[in-house]
Amino acid sequence: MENTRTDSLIYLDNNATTPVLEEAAAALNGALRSTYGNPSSYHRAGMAAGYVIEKARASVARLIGAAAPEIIFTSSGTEANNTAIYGTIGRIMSSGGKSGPANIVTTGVEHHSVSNAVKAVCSGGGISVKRAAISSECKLEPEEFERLIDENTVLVSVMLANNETGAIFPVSEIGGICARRGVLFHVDAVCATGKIRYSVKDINCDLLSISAHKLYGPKGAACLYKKRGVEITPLFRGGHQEANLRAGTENVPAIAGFGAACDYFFNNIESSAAHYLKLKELFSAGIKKALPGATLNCSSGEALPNTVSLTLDFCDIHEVNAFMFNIDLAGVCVSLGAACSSMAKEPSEVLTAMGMSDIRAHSTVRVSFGVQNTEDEVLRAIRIMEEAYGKITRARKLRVQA
Amino acid sequence: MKEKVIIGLSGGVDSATAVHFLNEAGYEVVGMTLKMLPDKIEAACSAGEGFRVCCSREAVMEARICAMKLGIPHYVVNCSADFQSGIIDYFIREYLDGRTPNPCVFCNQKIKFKFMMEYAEMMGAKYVATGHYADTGYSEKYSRTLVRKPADASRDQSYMLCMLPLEYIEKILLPLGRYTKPETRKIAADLGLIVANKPDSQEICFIPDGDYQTFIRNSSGSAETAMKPGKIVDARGTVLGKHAGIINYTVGQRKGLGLTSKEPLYVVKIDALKNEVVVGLESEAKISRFTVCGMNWFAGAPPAEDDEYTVKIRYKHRGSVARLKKIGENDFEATLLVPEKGVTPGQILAVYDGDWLLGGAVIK
Repeated sequence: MENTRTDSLIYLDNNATTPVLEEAAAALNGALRSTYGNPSSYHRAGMAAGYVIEKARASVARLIGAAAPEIIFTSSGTEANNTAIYGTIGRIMSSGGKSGPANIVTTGVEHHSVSNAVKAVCSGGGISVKRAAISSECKLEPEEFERLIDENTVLVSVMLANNETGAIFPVSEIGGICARRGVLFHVDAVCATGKIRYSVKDINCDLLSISAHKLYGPKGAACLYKKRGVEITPLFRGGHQEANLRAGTENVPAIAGFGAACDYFFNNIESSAAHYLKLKELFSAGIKKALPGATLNCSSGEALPNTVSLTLDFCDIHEVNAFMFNIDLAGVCVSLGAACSSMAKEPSEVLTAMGMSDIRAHSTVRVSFGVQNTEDEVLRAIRIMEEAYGKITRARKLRVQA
Repeated sequence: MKEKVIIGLSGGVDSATAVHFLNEAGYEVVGMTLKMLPDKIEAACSAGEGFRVCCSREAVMEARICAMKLGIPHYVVNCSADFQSGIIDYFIREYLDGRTPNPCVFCNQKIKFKFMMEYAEMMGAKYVATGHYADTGYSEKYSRTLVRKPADASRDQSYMLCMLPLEYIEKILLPLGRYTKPETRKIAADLGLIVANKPDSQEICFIPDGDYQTFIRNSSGSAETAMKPGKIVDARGTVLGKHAGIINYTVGQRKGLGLTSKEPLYVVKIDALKNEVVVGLESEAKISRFTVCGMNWFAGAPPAEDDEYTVKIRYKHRGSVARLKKIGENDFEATLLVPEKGVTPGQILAVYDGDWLLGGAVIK
């Protein structure tokens, strides 16, 4: 009957979300059971909950080289990105700091929580968007930002690493340009955090988004780093939580788990990255032999150690679907493009923005490794993908004969 | 190893309960929902009584809940572009040509079973199952597996399967063939399926309010001749009145003609070229001889001239006795032993021998 077990699965979709670390689960559970107070309450139950949050804030800040007061907890990466975009634009527009036309500079490969928020902000008129082009090799040229930013630019938003391809973008260079030109710089670091070590100081950003569930913390906690002195307006109207920037009672247990996950990666990020890279290299070499028609995308430039973007030579979307269903039935979890757009009718905008044809974009599988994965799982996954692929090509031959 | 079967899940009670029977029979069951409605139509449907539309967002969610409850995986496949070009466009074209189409029969042939068969092939599944009220079995007389009428005669959907490609017949499983609808609902309720009491779906899924005239007008524009008023005439060409556009009429129709006459008049023909609706008395509306095209025959040797078959000339038809005479490669002349009203061009003739479904063809 009812079956929601996942223990037999080979989970290779760690860019979509991650299993929760023991340490994070323990922190979450502790906060769930004992520090149940409302952090806004004056009494000791409230104090205890508030303390849990402040400890987590310090842990998150430490991981990214920020100061604790610069961390604003939110419910999700999407909320953090929306707060960054609506918050800065809202602030600029309401303070009259900008008269005349304004523009936002971003890329064509941002996550929907950035690209759709930018689209919505611009739909009101008065603000336009300029997007930096991305090369077919997933490269973004910082010089392009030098060119795109003008006196009307109010915000630049660029992701640290692309969630679909794993490509790392030169945010430090872009941050330097923004600082020099006096433009606010937001970085969506949701996908990168926990996979590569960085510091907000080095990036030179004003705002940066992180989500707990992408780094083995629980769903329901995330944050926006906001450099001291940067002013934004909140998304929600309500209480005074998070320095008046995020109304609503804090999700204390999830935030506690978030903090524990950040502690883990502060101590273990290099060894985790080495583990990912070993699996990635094992997989990349094996899959090229198993599926000769497969192409590895963005394999030349700087990329996340855990992400493989693989384009298979399928003829139509149904072959792609059947391949995905076959490997899923055999217990291997991966994504088509990004998790949020899985099984969509339209091909990934990210991949088509890189110049990929629709069918090639549709046929692109993202494999993302995690701390829990083993070499044995990787080898089994390669075999399962090879078998699934064989079923598709055999069925194609029969179809052609018919 | 368990035999794999792909079952089409519409989000309704029938297909969900069918999963249970397949589980019980020991198959490895994989659920699949085909999203057929183009986004625009789905949005329009959902704004109204969306939950009653097959493959709407809500229906997909209900299918998922039932699949998880019954312990099977569930995948969603989008084939709305094929549904638009193969079914909706055909539906509109037929009406514009003065014919009365049956989209469900062709959806089964060109979309529903076709896609699931292709997925079955690619996924190593031996069978494709649906929640249709129809049965399959081995006919000694015809020495082959055939579709037959189900236990619940009032729900008989075998008609809808009469244009399936022959090679599909051995690969389909119809677990509800032995159950009545009330039994299905009872079992669904016992299993705790949330769709146990869900209302039955409409006949035409892409027109949930049933107003096909408005649908065609909105889809193809009012410039088409078939939308324009024209003459209602009798067989001799005498003008009896005005019609509101031929898409509004079906052969056999009596009501809504706006004519006054001593004896009731029926639509006997729709002439799309002349933009005329031809009406006649009951005696003229009743015909016995007509042509059917594209005979799809499951039962081996083609129909013999002297054999008598039971035929249905539309889905809810009670069945009549007819003979079939070959007049072309796949074309036959059908002769009803008792003349009938409502032999409607575009509709499907399904041919039976008792409960066995032998084939189908399109009424010319």
